[in-house]
Amino acid sequence: MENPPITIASKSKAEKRKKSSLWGQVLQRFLKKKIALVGLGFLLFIFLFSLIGPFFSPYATEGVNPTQINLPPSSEHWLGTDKLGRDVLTRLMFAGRISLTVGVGAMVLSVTFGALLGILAGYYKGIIDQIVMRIADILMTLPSLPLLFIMAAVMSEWKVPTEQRLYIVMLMLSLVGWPGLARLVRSQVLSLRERQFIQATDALGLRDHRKLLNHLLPNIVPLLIVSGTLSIGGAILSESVLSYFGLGVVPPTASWGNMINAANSLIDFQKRPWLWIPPGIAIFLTVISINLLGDGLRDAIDPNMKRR
Amino acid sequence: MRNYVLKRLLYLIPTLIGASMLIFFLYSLVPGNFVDSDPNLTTERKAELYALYGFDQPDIERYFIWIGNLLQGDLGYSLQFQRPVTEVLGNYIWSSFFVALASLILTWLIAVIIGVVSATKQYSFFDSFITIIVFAAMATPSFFLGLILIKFLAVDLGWFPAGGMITTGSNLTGWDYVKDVAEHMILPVLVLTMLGIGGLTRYFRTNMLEVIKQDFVRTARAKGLKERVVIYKHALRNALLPAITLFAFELPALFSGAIITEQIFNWPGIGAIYMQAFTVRDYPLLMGFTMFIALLTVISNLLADLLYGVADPRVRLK
Repeated sequence: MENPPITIASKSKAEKRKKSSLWGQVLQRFLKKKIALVGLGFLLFIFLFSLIGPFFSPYATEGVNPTQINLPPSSEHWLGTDKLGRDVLTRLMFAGRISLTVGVGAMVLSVTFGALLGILAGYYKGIIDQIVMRIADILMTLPSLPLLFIMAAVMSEWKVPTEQRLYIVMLMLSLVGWPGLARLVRSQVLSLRERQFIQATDALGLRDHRKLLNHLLPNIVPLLIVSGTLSIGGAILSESVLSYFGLGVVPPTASWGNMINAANSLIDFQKRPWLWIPPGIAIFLTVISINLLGDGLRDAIDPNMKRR
Repeated sequence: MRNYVLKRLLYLIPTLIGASMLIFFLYSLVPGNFVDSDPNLTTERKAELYALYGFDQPDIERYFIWIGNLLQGDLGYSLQFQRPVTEVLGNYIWSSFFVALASLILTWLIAVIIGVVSATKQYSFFDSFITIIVFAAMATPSFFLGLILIKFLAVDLGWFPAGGMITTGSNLTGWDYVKDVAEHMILPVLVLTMLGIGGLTRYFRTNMLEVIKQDFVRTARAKGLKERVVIYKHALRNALLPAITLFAFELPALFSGAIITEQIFNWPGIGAIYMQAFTVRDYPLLMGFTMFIALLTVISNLLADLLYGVADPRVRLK
């Protein structure tokens, strides 16, 4: 039912004959994907917007300004101001830093956990496999939103300063995110470990950590790049939900999710859409770009990889 | 086959025990409880209530009491509603169920149609357009989509009611009541449909593309059948078959309520009740509901695997 996955080892042999590296080929294929390039472009734009945007904003250091409350968009404040007189566009940039950091951070953590546990489970099988996969099963049995809510409530008890709440959110999202990845990695490793190049490492008598890190890991990197990219989008969406409900990143630290929280006040919701629509659009554009990029990467890295 | 089912059922037991432990001990870590959230109580009354609800016993003992009752089908007593949890779930689950069912039917209908058309006209304008729409639907946060729809369609244009299940203060009966509820259902169903449609459309498109390349489709064409017959009678049937496993995965979603969407639209379903129970720390209700969903999830996973064997006899279940 599945196509035999093309191994990197056999592929690179074929490609050396053409005198171009494996990653060179990937790059060439990727550059042909116009939609994915558009996604990448957009993503770069959003990164730059959030990272260096504030340096161009005259309102970045000013913050609260009681004389300029709830102004609609104008030539001075392109997206208006909020109830404390802060410039919404500038706040959107700062919020972007937080939301993107949470997304990337949660991805790095869940890829690390997922890859590590998946490789161990798939390579050693037996008892380690049983333990890791049973835990993953149990975590995947529980509905993720209630699970996140519980963790958020528990971790609120730790009295983390508000500006460091984003690390808590990252940790939470990665705890929910690793089981799916571990499963993917495990099934890949289960098939890889029967391959001849791994048997060769056995014959050479390599130590386990060299086998795992130098020979198995490089072969699951393509899988990790694709699922990692796509999981950033998911993490940003989850963060926005949590922050919207006041369980994620909390004010005064801005995130795109908690900016939309303004919609909970009836008057802001009906009369001041500039407070909550721009952050929503920012999330939308970021996630759609990430998904387009991830999809393009999947096709470029391994055209035979199963679409999920 | 029977051995396989038995083996899988046996496997469910440790998973469910693990899930129940995780649920219980996670909720017991959550700060605050129902009694403490009421500031008007005297210290003596608090102690009385603690004893009554069993909060004064160690967690381990409470876990065994809870799991013992659970095995007898008793999910405990909701502190907030002062009724058995099973009764509360029974009361609110149906309003969630109807919204979920309506959106499920709509999602599948639209996804099959779009998926098939998109696959038969691969790389056409329609196909690219749909791909963009699908990506857009998957990238929108559900609560934001709900807010936008309320803002523009309900508040500004006034086409639909903004929230709730019935018009406030109305005393409708019979058909008028059904019509009123249906009107209130439109926006939540729309949100759930838009959110669910993306993945499914992509799934049907890829499936169709795979099936269309098969030999039997070429044979059907070679026999001189009409293209419509080839697509809908020969290809679509085979593309639909594997999807019944996906259908099984949807089972928990039918009963679990959509926490975010119900919250946004003020829909009195189980998801909104969950959020409410979470704020007042009504643990029996929270734990009972989470356990119920966990049970549904493992059953539907098993069902999906079994159905996979039914749909495709080449898959041997061992």
